Amino acid sequence: MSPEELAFRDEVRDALALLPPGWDRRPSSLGSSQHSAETEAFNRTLAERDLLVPHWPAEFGGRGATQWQYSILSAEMWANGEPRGPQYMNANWIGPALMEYGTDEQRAKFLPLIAQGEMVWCQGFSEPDAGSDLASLRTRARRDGEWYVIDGRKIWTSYAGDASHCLLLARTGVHEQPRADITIFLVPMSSEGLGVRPIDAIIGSHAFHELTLDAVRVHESMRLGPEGAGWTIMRGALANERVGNPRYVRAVKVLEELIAQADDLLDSADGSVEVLGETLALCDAARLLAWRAVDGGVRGHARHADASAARAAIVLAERAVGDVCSDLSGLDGVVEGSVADGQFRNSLAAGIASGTYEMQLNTVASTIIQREHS
Amino acid sequence: MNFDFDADQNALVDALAALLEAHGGPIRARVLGPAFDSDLDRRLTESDWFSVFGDGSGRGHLDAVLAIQTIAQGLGNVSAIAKCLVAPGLGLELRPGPLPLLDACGRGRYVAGAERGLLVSDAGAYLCTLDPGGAAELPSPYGYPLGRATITDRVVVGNGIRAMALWRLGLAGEAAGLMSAALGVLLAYLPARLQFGRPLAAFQALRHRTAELYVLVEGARLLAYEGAWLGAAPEAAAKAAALACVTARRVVRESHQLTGAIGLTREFDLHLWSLRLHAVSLEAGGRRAHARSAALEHWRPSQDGTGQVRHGS
Repeated sequence: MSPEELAFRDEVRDALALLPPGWDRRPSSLGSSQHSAETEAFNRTLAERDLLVPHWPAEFGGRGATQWQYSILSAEMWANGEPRGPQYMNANWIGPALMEYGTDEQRAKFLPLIAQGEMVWCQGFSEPDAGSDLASLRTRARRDGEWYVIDGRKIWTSYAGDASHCLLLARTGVHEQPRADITIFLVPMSSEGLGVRPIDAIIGSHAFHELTLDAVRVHESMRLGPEGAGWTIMRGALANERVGNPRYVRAVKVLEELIAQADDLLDSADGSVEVLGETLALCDAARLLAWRAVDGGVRGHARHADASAARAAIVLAERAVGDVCSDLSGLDGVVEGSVADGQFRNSLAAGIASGTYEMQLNTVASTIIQREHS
Repeated sequence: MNFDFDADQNALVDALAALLEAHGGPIRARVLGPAFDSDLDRRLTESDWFSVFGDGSGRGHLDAVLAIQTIAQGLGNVSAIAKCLVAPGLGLELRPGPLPLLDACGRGRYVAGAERGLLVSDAGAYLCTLDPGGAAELPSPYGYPLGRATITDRVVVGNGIRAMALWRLGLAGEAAGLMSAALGVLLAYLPARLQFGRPLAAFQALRHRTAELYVLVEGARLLAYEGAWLGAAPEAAAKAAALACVTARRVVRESHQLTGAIGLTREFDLHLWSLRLHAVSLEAGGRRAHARSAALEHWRPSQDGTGQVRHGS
């Protein structure tokens, strides 16, 4: 790190010292990404110190920090139980998408609130019949003068119970290309006809919700970008999301947590130390692949394959950490709240959230493998 | 943080790759068999490729790793790890000919014809004088001249932790070159081989397995580069070697599985890299030793590389 980056990291650590004493910093905690009164208060603290969206341009509430500095910030947050809750989503890609594609009105309305930590968003992407095959989504937005009328269902929506707005994908036309008529809407969660149902899940209480949209009316001023541009906007934004979460930091911290509880593991001669070493190496490989993707973005040659390779590597690392924690914990690993319990259940979601592992491999494969012999 | 090589590094790799294309590569490897390539060794010496480490300051470690990787990719059968990285890292004078790393039984790659060898243990790094007439060839189909040396004398030339870290870094670089080449053979095969009326490249199951290999190979390569950037720090070098060995096993198995029976023939080039890769992954204790060192250096670090080892083997 450069002296500037070290100084920035210290600034972030100073802010983290202000977390309330009861904050659960354990990396293995399942609830580490939940929205709570503590995360709300901490986000305001970060905002007051220009640390919530420091990488944004000053005109939108940032301070023009580099992408690397923001990576440092995210790593520090993930090392402390991610006390921003769902704010990382705003900072990583919803805000930047609004900056790039939003109208002046949308920017003025939403960006200051995001920059101040006063807004929670959720993302209405997946549907009961459109998961990895997202382009087949069926939620439809029908024009009615200046308004759109939206009908459909969304599912697996994180933070829908806390969010004030949903960034929602809906179909606005009938094209032969299923990706060409997807449009993004910025939908208030208080809209009439919009229902939210929490879905109990094995990976934490905040994880899943189902949204039902029954003739939800959204004004055209709340459309992000032109009709049919939704796929392009989302694809670019999700590449940011994939490398924006330094999950490798949390994975290594879980190993640290495991060793801290059972230091004598390192004295064993049963192969445990070797498995720990290999897992550690896998976590670091994921870190370097993520850094390479960030570096590519900074240098203007970002590739989707790099982001997907980084995401795939962290899935392998998180699973490996989940496995080693479980295997070295015995029945302690199935005691609720244990390191192995949290990491194992977290790792079940690792290859599903933010695009499945298989979709990441598809992206990598499409870059490295020619389909036909040239 | 900069993941792009600069013009000098790209020029280094390009020039060395061109030299290997002219004086190494599959045809040369087939002609020479598993023998040490004295002609290539001489050319690399004369054109200063074994001097890229310099005094180890600046980018010396990284340039050495890039050279080792490129030589492995080009199937150069020389003692690249020893001559590009470990010997200069320990301040040893370079001489023509092989310089093997010996295990506790005196076995190693490149023993035949070697006058000297390296022995590395927790107690120290030793330069051994070998009895040229006492070397026993060990039959090995893995692409390297394998043998057992007779040691007549040995002197301490450095710290064991430092020497092993350098060797591990070199192994990671060598494995990266071999893995890239093996993966390249697979990537060329998948679109060319038709089954069920389609190229293998069109089958998602095979595409996923290949993409996963790529993710692991790139991760292992970046760990080697980071280990070099950190001057072969013991933990970084051990992690790089550990993941290189883990990934090597996957690459060997999967590249042979996905190329089917043709991949098992000597007519097909894959074995030229894959068998060497397997051998490299077993050197210096293999994945278990590297991984153990990675874990212990991380959680119970040894001293600064000049003191005694605090953990066992």
